[in-house]
Amino acid sequence: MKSEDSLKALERKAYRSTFNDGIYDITFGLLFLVLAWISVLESIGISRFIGYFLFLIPIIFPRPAKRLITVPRLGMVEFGPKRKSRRRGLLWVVAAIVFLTLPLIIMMVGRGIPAGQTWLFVAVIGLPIFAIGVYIMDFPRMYLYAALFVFCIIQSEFLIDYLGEPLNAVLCFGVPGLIILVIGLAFLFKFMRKYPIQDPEASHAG
Amino acid sequence: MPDDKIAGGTLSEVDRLIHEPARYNIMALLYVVAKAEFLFVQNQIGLTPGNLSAHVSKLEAAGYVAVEKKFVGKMPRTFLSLTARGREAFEDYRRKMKDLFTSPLETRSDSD
Repeated sequence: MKSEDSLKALERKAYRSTFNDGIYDITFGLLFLVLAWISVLESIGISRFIGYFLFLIPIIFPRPAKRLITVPRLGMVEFGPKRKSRRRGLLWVVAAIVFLTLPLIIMMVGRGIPAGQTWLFVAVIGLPIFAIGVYIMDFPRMYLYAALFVFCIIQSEFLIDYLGEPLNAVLCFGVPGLIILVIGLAFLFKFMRKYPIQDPEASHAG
Repeated sequence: MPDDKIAGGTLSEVDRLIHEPARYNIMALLYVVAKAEFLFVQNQIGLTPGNLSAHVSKLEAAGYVAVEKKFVGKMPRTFLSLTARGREAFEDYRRKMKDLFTSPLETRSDSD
């Protein structure tokens, strides 16, 4: 006999099973790596603005990855109205992050403020909004990534005097990015082994 | 069975169709999600396609589960959802089971 709480736990388990594919971990790993790459590109004379286009990779990656890898293995699911409204809330939070931080980045870069300071500012503005987003998304691992993200930005600022650019960015974003990417890939391989692609005819039974 | 409207707390009054563990798990999962693909239910519950299919057929025959077959892209997909009747039956089952376990022991032994 399942109580109200265990039904909630069942819903949460079903919901969180959609995150066990490691796709969002890989996305975060890519985001960190892009931050490292921007610094590397800038050091070899390529504009930071061109580097910012690399952000399209982690932005675009999750959707087709979910469609091509997760859905054929795990199956599709539509959650209740509560999750749907949380998802709408998440979209608002993402929109807030973009609309608050993007003009600031453009303005600060335009005024020649050093990249490190720009990112520090973005972190201060973005972290609370980001935390709300993670809470809405109900994906606990992402709290760790968000905290790591801010820590890496601060660490990068401290290390710039000792290591210089782009080595500080490679160390502060590249290394954690690679670790997160490996974690994501481990989740992905585990997921793919656990849920092999099944015969569509069998899946169409019922 | 689905139309049983018996108040009380004996085991014979609970819906036997839902009482079977695999079917209870199917109903519980479909109760907490709006709609799920056959494959998703299969993965969550841990049943073979044939086994799940048999249970779903019984629940569908009782009017508890709606089965919708459609194409997503070029792939055929089967979606399962709880009907209003199924939702009501599941809530009723849970209520009766709760009554059964919370009512005094003497009452149960008397009626048994």
